[in-house]
Amino acid sequence: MFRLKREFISLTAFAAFLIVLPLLMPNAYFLDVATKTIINAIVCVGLNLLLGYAGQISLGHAAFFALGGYATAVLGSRLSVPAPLAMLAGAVLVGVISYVIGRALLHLRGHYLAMATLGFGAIVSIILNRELAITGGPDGMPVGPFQIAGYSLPSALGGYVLAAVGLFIAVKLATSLINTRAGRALRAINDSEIAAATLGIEVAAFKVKVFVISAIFASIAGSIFAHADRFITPVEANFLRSVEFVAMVVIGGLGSVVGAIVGAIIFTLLPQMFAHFEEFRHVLTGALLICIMAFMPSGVVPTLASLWVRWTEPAAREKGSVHGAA
Amino acid sequence: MSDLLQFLFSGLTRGSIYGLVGIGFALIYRSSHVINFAQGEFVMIGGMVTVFLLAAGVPLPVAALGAILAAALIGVVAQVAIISRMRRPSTLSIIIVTVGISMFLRGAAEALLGRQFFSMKGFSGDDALVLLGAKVSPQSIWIFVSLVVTTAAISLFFRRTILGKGIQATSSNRLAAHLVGIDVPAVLAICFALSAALGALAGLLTTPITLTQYDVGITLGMKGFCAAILGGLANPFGAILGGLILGFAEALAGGYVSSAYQDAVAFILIIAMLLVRPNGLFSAPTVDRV
Amino acid sequence: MALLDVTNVSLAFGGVKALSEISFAVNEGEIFSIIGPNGAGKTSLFNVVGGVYIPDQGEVHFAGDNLRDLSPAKRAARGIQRTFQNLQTLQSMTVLENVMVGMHLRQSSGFISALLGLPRIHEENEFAVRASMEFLKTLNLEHLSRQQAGTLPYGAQKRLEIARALAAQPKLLLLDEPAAGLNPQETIEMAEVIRRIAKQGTTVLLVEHDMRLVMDVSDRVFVLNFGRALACGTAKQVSSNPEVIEAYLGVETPEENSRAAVN
Repeated sequence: MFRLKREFISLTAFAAFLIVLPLLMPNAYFLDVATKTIINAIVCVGLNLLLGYAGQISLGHAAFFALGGYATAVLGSRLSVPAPLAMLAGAVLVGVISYVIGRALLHLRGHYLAMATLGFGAIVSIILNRELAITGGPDGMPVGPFQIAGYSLPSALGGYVLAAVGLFIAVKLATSLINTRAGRALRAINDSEIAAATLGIEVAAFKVKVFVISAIFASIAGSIFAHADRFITPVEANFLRSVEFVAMVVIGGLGSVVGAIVGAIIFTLLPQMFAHFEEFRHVLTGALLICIMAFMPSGVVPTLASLWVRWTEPAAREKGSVHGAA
Repeated sequence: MSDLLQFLFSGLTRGSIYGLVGIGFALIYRSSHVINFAQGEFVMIGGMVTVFLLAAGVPLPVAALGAILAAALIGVVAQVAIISRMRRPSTLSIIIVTVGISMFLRGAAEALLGRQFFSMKGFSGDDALVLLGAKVSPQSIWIFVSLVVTTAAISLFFRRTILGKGIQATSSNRLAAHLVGIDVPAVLAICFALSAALGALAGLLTTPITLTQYDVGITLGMKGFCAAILGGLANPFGAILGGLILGFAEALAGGYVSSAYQDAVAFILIIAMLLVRPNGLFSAPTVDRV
Repeated sequence: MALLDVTNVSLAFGGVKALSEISFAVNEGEIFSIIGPNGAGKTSLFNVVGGVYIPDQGEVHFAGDNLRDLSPAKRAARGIQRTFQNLQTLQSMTVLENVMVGMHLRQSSGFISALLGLPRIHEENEFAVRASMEFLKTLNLEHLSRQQAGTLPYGAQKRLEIARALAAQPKLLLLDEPAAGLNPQETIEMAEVIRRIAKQGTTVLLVEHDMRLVMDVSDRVFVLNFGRALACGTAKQVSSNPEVIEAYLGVETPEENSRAAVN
């Protein structure tokens, strides 16, 4: 019961933060950065389930993101399908694709999923670039605002609200998964596949399910992005985008919802902070990536959390061992 | 017929480049189980340094050697100063670090050299030779010969030198290699130097044909990675064959199927191969020990 | 009919024969031990029963069914659980959560209800917590329930693996060297635990180096040497078998014990 209460309080606080945030933004530019950060965070919360819990690497999540975005753009804006339905269609499409890929490959060990998703992502990116008639090619295509029954919020704020609602739901889903039979099974797989299997957990089937869930998170985020940016280009399907998503999760800290969000914040804000040194933006981002991983290999949030524990409870470790011996 | 021959020559040229880049991936993966995402940037460095040394009036052989040494040096620095110093490295954190290194190198090239293309003359001029009715650029011959020589050199290196055997020992069991007195960190550094040098070689060879730019490493790196996967990732010679297969497949698909989807061939091949033979085309399946 | 029936099983790694034509049957409710010097093939045999290795030849039947094509997870669903010689506790999870994972097969909620936070999830969790605490009590671990499994001392982790396996309510429990690394007092307690498990109706298949424990708890003992069956019978019969004494008991030296302790 105590845990439930605490979860309720932190979710409420999080919702309050999301509501207040746009009021603190001095101008439209900052609001836009906040929206982009939140959209990245949605992808990361989903990807973290795959990376942090199932221990599988995907180098193709940008493709799922882009497919969601293009589903919204093509169905919603060009074929006038209602926006929520277009978003749903994108999610279903991505769900089916990721299921087929996962089903075929996730029983294998090693980095097979990484390689296959890399290949898949590259193919999606090429198709989006080449099929001018449908996607508008490298120039991309415009997207309408998110409308329900003909009503929509004003442009910039509308994007933010959509993203914030998306992230809140994503966080709610991810946190409620952790302490359930399925969530425990996932964490067990990450700790020891062999132990998980001998306890009756169908390891490959679980990995496939998480892969599908994380891909759908990315697809929804992509749809939100298309509405928020009012435009989408094949750059969103780029291999480097996929790598960025993985980097965000790892930087923030694997296996923690907070970590996924913090990673998205760090990675999205950094290039903005370096905007004054436009030419050196990528060098600085690269250098920072190296430094964080060199000094905090388990990610920012877990590292800070353990430092915090060490400062506040210097006796924690000893206490543990006394308990153990008893 | 002459069309086909033309495509085959083009495939051989592409394939040789992919193979050279692929060996780099395979060498590093074999020695340290790291997928080095900065491999493509060494290709870029090879082309760029050669172009600038040539512009400074340095003769081509010296410029080429300079480019290869520069890349190798950067490779060693990356391994010794960054990767080997990581505390409690996981596969993922190492991947992220190599991504960081690649962003850093690419970003540095962008900041220093801008986004324009740089060109360079073919080693033996740019006048195409006619061979059996098909046109072949002399640079293609340079590329193919370099691949053959490199393959032979690496094969000799692995079989005949203490260092080569040390690398093999390290890749099969790092702890055991350490216990029998092999300097494992040195071996790893040498592997990084070697694969950086091979990447740079590929880069300076291909620049006269494809030009170079700060971000050529992304595409070439991915193609080289495909070559390595096709060949079985841990097998340097598999990477060469993988590269050649990929080169021919691309050339044929571009010629007979669709030039718009030529770039997709590599990735379709990867997925097809993962479904059929996940350990690569040329690797024996490994026994899983628990 | 026997609960577990191993017939004519052979297994080779490359050219090395790990097991040659092994046959034995374990009856329901019995404590059946497999002993033998290092490298005799005990753990290989365990892995064949658990489904980690597929034998090159021979069959394993459990409650009348051929296990051949069943994965470890499917075997677990039939009622086979095991512990590991080199610990496989779930390090990043708490002691309580480890045992709750052990209850995986006895519950059924999936991703959808978990993501949606349906009420049945809370009921399931509460039941799992209550039941798991009982298993922790059985193995004297309840005071450690909130600790991370990875921080527990070795002996406690061994007991945790047993608690976790019991949480699945197995018909057959495979224990891989449960006394290795335990001090004499802990070993005596372990013997008590094993007897209690059998008394509650779970059949126990035991691989163990500590001969006192084996002789103390086993209904029957099966002796392996270089992958071959050497003898099978009650503890008394086996320990008086001259071949066994020569092949096995004769080399049971203090050095042997210290190796087990290091493991």
